[in-house]
Amino acid sequence: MLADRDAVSDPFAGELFLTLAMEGRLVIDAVRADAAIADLQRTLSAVQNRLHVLRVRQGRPTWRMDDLPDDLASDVVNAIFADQLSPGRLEQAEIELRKYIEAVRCARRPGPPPGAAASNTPEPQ
Amino acid sequence: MEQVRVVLRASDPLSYEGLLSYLQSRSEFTVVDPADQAEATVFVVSCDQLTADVVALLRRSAAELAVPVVLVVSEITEAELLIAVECRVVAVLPRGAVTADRLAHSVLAAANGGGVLPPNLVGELLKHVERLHREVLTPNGLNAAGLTSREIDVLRLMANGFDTHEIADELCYSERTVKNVIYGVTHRLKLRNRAHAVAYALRTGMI
Repeated sequence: MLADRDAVSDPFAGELFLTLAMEGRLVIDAVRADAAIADLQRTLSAVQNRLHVLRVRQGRPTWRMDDLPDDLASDVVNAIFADQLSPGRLEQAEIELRKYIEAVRCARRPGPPPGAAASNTPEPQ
Repeated sequence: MEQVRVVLRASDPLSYEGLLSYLQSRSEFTVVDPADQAEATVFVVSCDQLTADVVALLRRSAAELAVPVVLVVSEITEAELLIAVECRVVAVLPRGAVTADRLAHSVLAAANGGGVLPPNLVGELLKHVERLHREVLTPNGLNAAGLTSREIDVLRLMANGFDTHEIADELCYSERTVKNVIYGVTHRLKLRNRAHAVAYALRTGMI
């Protein structure tokens, strides 16, 4: 359905999700909401790990990759690489991901998906 | 049953007439004049793409009317979809697949849904959430291992101070090929110049 004209634009819409959830326009059944929250928390945790790596590295300018065990070196390289490609995005992601999590929690409703309601029956084929 | 009052806007006369005939063929709908749009319960907008003008129209209607919008559009990007949702769009219909029944279903659902996003749009928003992990952690779809052996060879010689001609001689490539390799790696990885490319390769342990 979606075109890809803006594949590299700013990927975040945390504020919009918060607004939709708080106005009651975004309603997510518990199963999908819980899965989305778990996914977002996993991403947030990975972002925080990478930010930690970058901050540690900034504090030790003489740090050499050769001094690190292979598995850790790979994590460090990935963190630095991602930050080089999109400087500042990890910091932005940390802020935005918290908004998404709050929004999905707010939009979460117990029970079946809202699609079961009469007003949202499937579109005719 | 109370009729649904619809304001219709289209970017071209043919689409307008087509959608108007669909709406007028159903007794559930009354198409109101744009001058009386304050009476509308649903806004239907048809366009090829979400241009700046269309976005401006949607923002105006969201601010002034605050009624649900059915958007008929040829193609829409993820970012545009988010803008549309922000502007109270609750249904997106592919322009080439609109039928009288589909339009009627969407307009009725919009009128009865109280502005709540239907499951298919919630699904699109959740797909956006799923994509965040990838977009944040592997920007541009690349990881640190995203170099070919040919690129590594060229970068290694660049790091040793070779110019394009010398690299071409050393690797038995044409100068054009070497330039293409350098352009490809710097463009793909969004590196600023040759020095940045070499620094990147050194830092990532590729050379």
